[in-house]
Amino acid sequence: MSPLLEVRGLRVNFLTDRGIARAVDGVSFSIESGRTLGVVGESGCGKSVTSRAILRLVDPPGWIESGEILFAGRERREDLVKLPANGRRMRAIRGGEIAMIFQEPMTALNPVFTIGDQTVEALRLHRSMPAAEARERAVAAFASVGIPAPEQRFREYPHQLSGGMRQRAMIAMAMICNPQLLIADEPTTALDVTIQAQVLDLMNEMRQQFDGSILFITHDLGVIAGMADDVIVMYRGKVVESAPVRDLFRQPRHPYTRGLLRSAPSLVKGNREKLEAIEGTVPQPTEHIRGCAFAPRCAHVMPRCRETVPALAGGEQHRAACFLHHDETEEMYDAV
Amino acid sequence: MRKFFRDFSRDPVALVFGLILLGIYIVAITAQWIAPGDPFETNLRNGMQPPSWEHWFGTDQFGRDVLSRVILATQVTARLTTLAILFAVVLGVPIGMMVGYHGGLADAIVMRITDIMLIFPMIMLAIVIVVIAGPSERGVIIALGLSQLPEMIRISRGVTLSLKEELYVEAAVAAGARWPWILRRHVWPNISTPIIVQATLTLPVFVLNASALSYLGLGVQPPTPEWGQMLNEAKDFLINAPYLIIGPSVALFLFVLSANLVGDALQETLNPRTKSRRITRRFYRVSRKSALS
Repeated sequence: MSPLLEVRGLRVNFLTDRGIARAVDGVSFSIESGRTLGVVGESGCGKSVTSRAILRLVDPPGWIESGEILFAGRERREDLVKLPANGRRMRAIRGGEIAMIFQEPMTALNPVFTIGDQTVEALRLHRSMPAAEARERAVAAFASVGIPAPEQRFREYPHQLSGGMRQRAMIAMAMICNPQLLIADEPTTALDVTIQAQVLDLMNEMRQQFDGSILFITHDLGVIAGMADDVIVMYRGKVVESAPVRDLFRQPRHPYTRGLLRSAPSLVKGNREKLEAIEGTVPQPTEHIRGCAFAPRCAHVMPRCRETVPALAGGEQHRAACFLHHDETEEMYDAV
Repeated sequence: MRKFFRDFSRDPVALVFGLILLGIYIVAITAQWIAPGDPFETNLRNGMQPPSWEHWFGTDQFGRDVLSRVILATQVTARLTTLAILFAVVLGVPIGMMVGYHGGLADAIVMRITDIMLIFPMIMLAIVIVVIAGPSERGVIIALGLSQLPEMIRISRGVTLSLKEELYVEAAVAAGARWPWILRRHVWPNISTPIIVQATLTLPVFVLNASALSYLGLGVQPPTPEWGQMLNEAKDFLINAPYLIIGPSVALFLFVLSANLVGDALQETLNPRTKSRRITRRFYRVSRKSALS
């Protein structure tokens, strides 16, 4: 069975004052139906741009340079890159088959409409149905995401709701058309930790209910550990490691992934050792780097890291883009 | 809304002139019924009578009752200016929203055209348009409307540009909305307030310019009465019958002054950044506008 979403060699560029920035530089991954893929990485590593590219929301000065985004929609499997960005099919996919939840529930809701209005709007964009029925469905959706007194909340404005409630409303809006794929761009970053856990539980629950997949973007490794089935780690527009979530946390391969894990606080060790930070900073996206982009910050850097870009390699499930884990055959493959 | 009325009525000047403006519009709407005489009925033997109980503002050279003519002119002016404002809003706001939302070449072209239109003084632009469209009521409406078009385009474009960056607009796009839907649902509600303010501030300018055009013989054509055109006729008899200018002048003065003050008060009430009451600025604005014509 082909995966629900398969991204192959996606490149997204932005034109800036300092030249062309390669925000997404040859990213490939796939999401199976019913699974959650976590995307981790620092700010500016291209994870948000990737998610927007899937919905074809990359606006000038940015553009999709090359690559394929194969989505197994309700009717057929198609390459989203080849569709017109604002055409009928793409608009039907947005919200209807692939929905998105944004980072800030404060600003992703229009302050001048009630949340009920906005939920009905999401429904009316994709399904033609009588107003009364749409309203009923929206109230039911509110109830299903655990909004207490949904009838009353329906008539309230975004500013009358707490952050957690707003994010619940956003989830209800995203789920109301039963999408197959939900893209969540740091959905809990702006929330309190306790609310975070509730919202994450809710998302897991919803995924089981609607039997779809989630593309979960975050920089929080703890959240990834709890949510994702598979993880890709991104650094400077490239996937540096891709693994099932257990393998990634037990045996991280890429030095960048290890660095990320070490720089997260842990209680397991029982002591309060100093957190390790990864040396250096992320190079400017417009800078051209020869070889591995992480080489300037890497503790295990080898001469050839500065010459050639390591490919993502190493087995069926757990792969890393690092020469430390390349065996001879792969090396030869790279040289070609 | 209640807060709006409270703020508005707290300003006694705005309240009084708001009521006067309201009264002017009531007169305009009911002109046919409240005019004491027939504004078109000539009576040459009763020409150029001074004000009396029978003819409050006197009679003109053809013996027509000036008060009745002033009242009918109120209707003509109110209709002219309202239609001209509607013209500018109906044409300008969609253009502004579209170029603001889509940007690119169309935006650049439209903005350069508005820049060019803004170079010319409004009255000069209006005269050119009236000459092309022909001196008539319709010509004045088109001329005034077009002269205000750049302003309407700029305001709606500016608001659209800033709203485009809002996350809820992006969220709407991500939910599958098309641009006309986004403009109607998410942009228009935010544009209506500045447009209403601008329209009210434009009203007195339109009134003055409509009268100026008619005074020059380019606007409303006789025998339909219009203040500017009545003044034009009255100026020939300034020595013998100076009272003929009283009616149209007072009406013009009241309309312009009250529309100005109400516009300023509206702006201050609706725009939280200019809450302070600056009487001096108001008078400055009134005098500057009057100087224009």
